[in-house]
Amino acid sequence: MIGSIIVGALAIGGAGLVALAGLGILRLPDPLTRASAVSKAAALGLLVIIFAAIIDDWSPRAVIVLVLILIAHLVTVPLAGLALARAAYRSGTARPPITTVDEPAERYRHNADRQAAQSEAGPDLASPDDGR
Amino acid sequence: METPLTAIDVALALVVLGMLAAIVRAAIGPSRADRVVAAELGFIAAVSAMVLIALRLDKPIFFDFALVSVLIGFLTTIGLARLVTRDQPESESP
Repeated sequence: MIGSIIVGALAIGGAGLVALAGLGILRLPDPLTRASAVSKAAALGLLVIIFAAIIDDWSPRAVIVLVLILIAHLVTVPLAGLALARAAYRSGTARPPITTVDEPAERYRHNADRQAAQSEAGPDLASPDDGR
Repeated sequence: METPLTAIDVALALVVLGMLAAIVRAAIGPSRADRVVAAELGFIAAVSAMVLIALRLDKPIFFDFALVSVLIGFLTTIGLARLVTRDQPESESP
């Protein structure tokens, strides 16, 4: 009885975090903040739902699969969030007027200058962008 | 073992709300990056729904679906993020 109450509370809490990520993705102003909302709120939401499932189903088969889901999710979600934020920044669409600090800009300008010098010297045959 | 059916139903409804928000953002998102972020939220909501359905129907086979979906969702997000910067020249990451 008390176990089912705990399972229900954890499931509703985790699903509420997923819904909160949905609210964030609708309300936040630019892709960087939206990626932040998804990779934190939704990741924690699935985590809490998996804990609810572990408490509900104690059979070894279910627990092994759920722990595997837990590990895969914990390892992959920060990486996916990082890749998303990098891509959003590099695609140039993530420059809202409320952003006041832009730390990677200097480094990117340095890279762009070097890239321009390289392309003046000749085409980069080893570039992985060839043939697309 | 009795399951708190109504609580899990409410949780499924909340997950559906998150999925609807992802669909709206993917439809109206002004940039490609917005749509990729919406796709990631859609994947996480789908995996959450699979785990909750496994609890609701008491069928542990859905846990296996959720495990495969987590890994495929990661690959999809990485690939789509690569696609967002398709037009940019390759450069060192900061």
